[in-house]
Amino acid sequence: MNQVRDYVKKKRQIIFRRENYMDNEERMRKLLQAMYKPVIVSSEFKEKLLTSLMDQLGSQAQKPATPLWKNRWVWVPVAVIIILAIIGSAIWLLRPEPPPSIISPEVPSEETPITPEESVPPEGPVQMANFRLLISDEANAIENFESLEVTISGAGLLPAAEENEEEPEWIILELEEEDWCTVDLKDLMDENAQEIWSGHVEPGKYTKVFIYIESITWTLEGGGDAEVKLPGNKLQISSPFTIGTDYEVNFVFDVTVVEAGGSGQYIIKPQLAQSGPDKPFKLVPPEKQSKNK
Amino acid sequence: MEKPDSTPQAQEAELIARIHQGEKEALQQLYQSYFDRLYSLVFRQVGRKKEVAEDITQETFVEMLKSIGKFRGKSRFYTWLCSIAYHRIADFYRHQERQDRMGIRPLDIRILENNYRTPEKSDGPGIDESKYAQDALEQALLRLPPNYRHVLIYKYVEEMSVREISQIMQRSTKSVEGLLARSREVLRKIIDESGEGLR
Repeated sequence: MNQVRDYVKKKRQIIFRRENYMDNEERMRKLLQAMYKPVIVSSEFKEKLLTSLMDQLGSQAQKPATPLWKNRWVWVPVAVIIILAIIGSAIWLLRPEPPPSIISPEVPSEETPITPEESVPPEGPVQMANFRLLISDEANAIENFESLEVTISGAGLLPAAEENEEEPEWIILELEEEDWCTVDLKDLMDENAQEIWSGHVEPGKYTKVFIYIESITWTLEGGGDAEVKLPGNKLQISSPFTIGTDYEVNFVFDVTVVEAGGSGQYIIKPQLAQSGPDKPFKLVPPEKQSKNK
Repeated sequence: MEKPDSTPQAQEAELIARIHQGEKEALQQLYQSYFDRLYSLVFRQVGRKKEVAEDITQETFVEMLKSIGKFRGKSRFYTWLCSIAYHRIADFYRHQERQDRMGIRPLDIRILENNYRTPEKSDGPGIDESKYAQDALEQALLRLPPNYRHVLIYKYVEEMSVREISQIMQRSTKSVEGLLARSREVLRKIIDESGEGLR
């Protein structure tokens, strides 16, 4: 029996290879079609299926059109709108308090520098603006520039750690993209300063301040190439200060641009000596600054 | 005056529109046109299992009737019907694979029968050699992975174009061409293997 089986198997393969069926698509097609002849199905099954299909068609035709509100796909956009509305309301309710708009101190004239004592606002509501961050520029290599614009996209304060307490978290003073502040450092030399952020922060002791620099653009005096770099995407200074409840602290963040060894490379860095809460400054309003440009 | 379109596609489109309106005669006509062909195809694709072929054919026609409104005429009606059947066949093989993994599927009697079957005409003068070749091919086809077998059947038995096969199998035409080439290669390997079908 085994011999017969082996013989048949061998015979199949020999014939298949000899006739080269695999390399001849036409032969393969004919062979497959001969092998897979149409199958005759029982007429009983065929009829039964047709009858059930006819019944199905009849019931489908009788079914009244589904009202629109019963179509589940109609509810998908409705559900999406409801969910978005809920999320939107939650975000609106949980949003951080915006800086009170009532604080808009009078812009002093350029001729009369103000001191922090002069900038104390009148008493007002509890959540009054008690902190103002300003940016100024210490003249160094700024003379080499026709303009040097930096865009500030945010700032942060580090609260002082209480005794036996862990390092506290930074308080981020976020700026919406439309509130990002672009200043030309050329206009902020000496005591000139421009406001970056104003609002209410938790009263207390703070040790560090940083500002995020989003971008820098510059033009050299008389043209030419230069490279202006930042040590990172933010500038940070350590300067302990206190924010109270009933007066506004004007913190001047002074930056400077220095040339790295006459290489044509410039670095913007914080100027600690000129930065702090008690530095005199002359406020340059954005309008004034744009006029200067 | 414009001559009415009498191409098979136009006739099909008309039948479909009539079925959509609930006309039973149109359904009967369409059913008679495609039932035998579809059943034969499914029967081959599922390894000649009669009950399975009947179930899949029935499910295919029921599904066809349910979703006939979705047929947009972008392919031939038969291609669309085949694509419904193809998903059912794929489900069948997935189910079989699960059973194989769990070790609960009974031994495939059909394959065993085929492997031990001898050609109708035994050795002797006037031997029908194509019967032997046919037998060798059938043994090899049964050992192909389902997708390889499907694509060969669509191509050589159903004589479908690569584009039609791509519509059925929901693959790109490039992928179908690749699948066809691999199927032929694997088929050749299986046939070339010694001890084919008797292990």
